[in-house]
Amino acid sequence: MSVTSLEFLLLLFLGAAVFFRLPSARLRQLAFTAGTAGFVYSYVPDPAGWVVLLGFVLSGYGCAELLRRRPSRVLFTSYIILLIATFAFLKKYDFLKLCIPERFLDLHLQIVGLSYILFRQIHFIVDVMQGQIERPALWAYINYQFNPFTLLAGPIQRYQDFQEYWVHPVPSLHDRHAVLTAYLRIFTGVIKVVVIAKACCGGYDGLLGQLGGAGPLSPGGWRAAAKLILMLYYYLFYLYMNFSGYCDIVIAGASLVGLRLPENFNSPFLARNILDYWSRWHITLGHWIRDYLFTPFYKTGAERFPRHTQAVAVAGYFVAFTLAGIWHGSTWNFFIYGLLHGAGASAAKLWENAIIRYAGRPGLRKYLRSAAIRWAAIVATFHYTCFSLFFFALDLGQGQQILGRLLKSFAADY
Amino acid sequence: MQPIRTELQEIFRQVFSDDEIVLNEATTADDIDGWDSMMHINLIIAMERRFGVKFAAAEIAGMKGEDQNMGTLVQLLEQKLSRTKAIRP
Repeated sequence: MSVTSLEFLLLLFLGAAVFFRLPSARLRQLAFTAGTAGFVYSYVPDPAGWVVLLGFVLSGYGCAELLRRRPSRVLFTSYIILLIATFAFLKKYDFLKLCIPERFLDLHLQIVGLSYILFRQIHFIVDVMQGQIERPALWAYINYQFNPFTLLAGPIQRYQDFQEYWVHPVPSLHDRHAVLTAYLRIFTGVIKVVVIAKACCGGYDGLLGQLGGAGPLSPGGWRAAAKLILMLYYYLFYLYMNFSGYCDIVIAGASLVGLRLPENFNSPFLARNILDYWSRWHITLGHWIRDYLFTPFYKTGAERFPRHTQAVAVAGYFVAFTLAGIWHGSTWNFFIYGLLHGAGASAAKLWENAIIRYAGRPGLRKYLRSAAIRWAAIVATFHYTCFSLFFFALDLGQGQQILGRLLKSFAADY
Repeated sequence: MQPIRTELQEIFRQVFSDDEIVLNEATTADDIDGWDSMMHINLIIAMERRFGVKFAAAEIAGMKGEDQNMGTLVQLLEQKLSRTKAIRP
């Protein structure tokens, strides 16, 4: 059941109309759970899929409980390795084919939302182990993980925020204007996904058909290169409209039943470097990468090698963004996509450090306040992120084919 | 509260190599140029060393969040220091 489908929207509006008429928190929780179960069932009708998903989630809760009672680095590390290995196996990552025969990877299982479940699970375990979640409750945790407003593609909400809502499910929209604004946001989200994203996708598919076929490109050379650039623009706007539209629907939809979700976008095309980009595009993922990948890596490294913090940071950006790239998809192109963003983040940091070294903090302040530099940086970042999508939209075979045809057409011209 | 803030100001000036930094209750991450993820962790490491405390991942993330300022950081440090004293009388 897609979040833009008529069934989902009607059920959401109906649910929102009756939710706060239920007299107690317990009844509201039961209604939430029933909605969640129905939503998951629409994607996973197969009992085997339910067993695997529940096993994945319950193992995390069990491990967190053990770690809460007795923190153990060995148990934590072993469980995280096992969890990621299970995730890679269930998602059939390409690199597994190098060591496991393909017939063992084909389980014919229907599973939904595993990528986001993984991130929420790691956050939950770390925070429980570090005493930041004092009384985790199993029922709340299951609803947190399968919450229909965040299951498919985020935003990545923190358990503490969900638990606060779960214990006191009360309205978060306090006047008629706020409620109407939420409905308008849902409507805007549907238009973004169903109309604008679809149109962009059509433009992208059309150009991909022209560039990705067999035989020589006609027209070739610079006109074909311009088509490739236009194709990536289409893809970027398709992704933005599709994902931000989805976020509009789920964030506003959740607010109708009192649940506040974190925002996921903040004018991403105004980012002035890659680090800034990840604090504006898919914000909750950017924050997760920062908090659970970059921070522990950099903190450990900087404590051990205090004279080489810059090198540790660069290594940290590469590790964090490469892992985040791999998380986006199971094929090798996502690895390159992650590497490109690691390189972009490192370049941004090294550039800033170079300015501080040569012009000091006042020089950096002057640099950051220059409007001309800001716009140049915005245009450069926009194009870097746009062109990096070549390795997001296309697998390596497709990418190689398009670039090969393009180069041949240039060679033929000269 | 005053000595903690004075010590914090010293740490900030050292970490950001900027003697012009002046902290007050309302100072936020946006008020200090160059306070990014890396500098944030450099600050955490410096505070952990100076005050002998440990910050959890959620606390480190929360410090740069909305509604967070120097006042909330001082409060968090005071809480941690009082817990440390309770453990080590």
